[in-house]
Amino acid sequence: MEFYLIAISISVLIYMLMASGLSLQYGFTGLVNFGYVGFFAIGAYTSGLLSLQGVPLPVSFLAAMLLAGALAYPLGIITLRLGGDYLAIITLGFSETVRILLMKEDWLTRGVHGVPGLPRVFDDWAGVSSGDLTLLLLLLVVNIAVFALIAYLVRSPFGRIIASIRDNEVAVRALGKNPAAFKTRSLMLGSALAGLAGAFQAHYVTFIAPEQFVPLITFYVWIAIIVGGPNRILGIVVGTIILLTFLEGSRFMRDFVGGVSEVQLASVRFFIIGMALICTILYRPNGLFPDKFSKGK
Amino acid sequence: MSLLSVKNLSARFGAFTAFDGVDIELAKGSLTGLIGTNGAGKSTLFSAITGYITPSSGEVKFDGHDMLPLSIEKRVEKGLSRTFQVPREFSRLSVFQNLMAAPPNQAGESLAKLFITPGRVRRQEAELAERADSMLQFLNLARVADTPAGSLSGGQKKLLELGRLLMLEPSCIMLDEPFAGVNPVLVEELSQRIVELNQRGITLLIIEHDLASLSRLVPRLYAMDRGRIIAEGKPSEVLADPRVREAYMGGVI
Repeated sequence: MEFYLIAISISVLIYMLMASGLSLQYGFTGLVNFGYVGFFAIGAYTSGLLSLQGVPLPVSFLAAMLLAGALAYPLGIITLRLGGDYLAIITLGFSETVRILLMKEDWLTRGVHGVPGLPRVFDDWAGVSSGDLTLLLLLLVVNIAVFALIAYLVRSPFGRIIASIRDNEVAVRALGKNPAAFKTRSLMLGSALAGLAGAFQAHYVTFIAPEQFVPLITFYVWIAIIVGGPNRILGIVVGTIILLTFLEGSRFMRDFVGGVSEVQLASVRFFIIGMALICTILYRPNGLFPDKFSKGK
Repeated sequence: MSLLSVKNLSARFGAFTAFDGVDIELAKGSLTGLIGTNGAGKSTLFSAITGYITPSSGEVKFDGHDMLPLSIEKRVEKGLSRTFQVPREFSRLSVFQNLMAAPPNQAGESLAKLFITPGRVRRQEAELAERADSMLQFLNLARVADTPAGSLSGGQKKLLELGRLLMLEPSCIMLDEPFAGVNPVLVEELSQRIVELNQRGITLLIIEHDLASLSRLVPRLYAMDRGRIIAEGKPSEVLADPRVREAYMGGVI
């Protein structure tokens, strides 16, 4: 049981990293990124493939962040001068392009077979059993550092400008500031966090394949931040925990509900998550933890 | 000496002409009104001068610079700023933070400087906070400093928008219907602020439908109808002009 708890906590913390990045983009800047999983995939493959070439993990993790962040730059240049809906569509297209490239570029990614045997983070010196626990602690520290970073950023003049862009982009231009420059930075920072989460995922699961990076993952992260509240750190934490509780908890339902097949159960899981999302939007439109100025709106 | 000079400016969208052959000269430190019926092309003219739309022909010079090739942001940097007919406050930021967001070249807007020189960012924030506080006093918004801007009244939003522009220390402000939807007491207050700004040397151009308030405020007036300037001069002369009366009253009187 405690192995299971450690495993699910690691998943929660990996999702939480992604939720932080998406919340920076959406909650604090107002960018609708429907291709978030693309950056998660880039991070996972970058670190995974580099590590198999013998690159030490700290370096490959850093490379995963930098590449995911850097690839957000051209996307930002192309789309951020357009309205929000275009960004949503183009990012969705971007993440699917990434997934299809991973499937088709066999020479690099082994295509649909995926890449097995990735090194685990702490196994070399901590052993398999305590390796997971050490990874959990590292993820905890990383998440806390990311929260501290986000808290510092959103209270800074930079945070003020991205919040202004979220509220009224035209007025930001009327103040002589170029919204595209700020949006690009927010997009890159959030994507770098997705890349970091991807690297953790790759070296935790030790296997990466294109099928792990379907758009559904993007929308899981969206659900987490919408349920929790997209512009509160508490919202990110609680939203992610609720999402993973539903995702993982529904696995145990079979023990209590008889005569349901695995496939049917998967559908029930989607049903429950969908209902939770709908109820949130109906009764808590700004999430369980709205920011202080969104209440009652 | 002329600060803003608009020459023969036209904007056509397909078969539709928003305005045509418009000439406007604003002397440095002047206070000028622009009137005209709904659809006369006033706001579109503002948008063309400030860069939100691209005119089809003509010339806009500001402080000696050719403005037409410049982006909205560059024109603001040169000192030319505007408000909008419908206020565009940052609704989820406090009134105070709305003002703090405005000033240009803030060190804390750069991610690198946030981490490399946090002390400089803090010092600059403290300076800006002082300026924002005195702006709140000047606009009589100090009571609502910590209120989210989205919950202000329409009139207060107009004051806030003016305050936000003033934080930029512009040399010319174009106000689009500052009195619309504002209660009479606040109109009086807003008028006083405008006069004080003008006395400090800021050049102002004001679109307004409230002809009584406007003609008391400005010494010089342009009148527009169907995309053309039809009269200019002292308010009493312009309002007495038969073409202006025709445009406003449809020739009934």
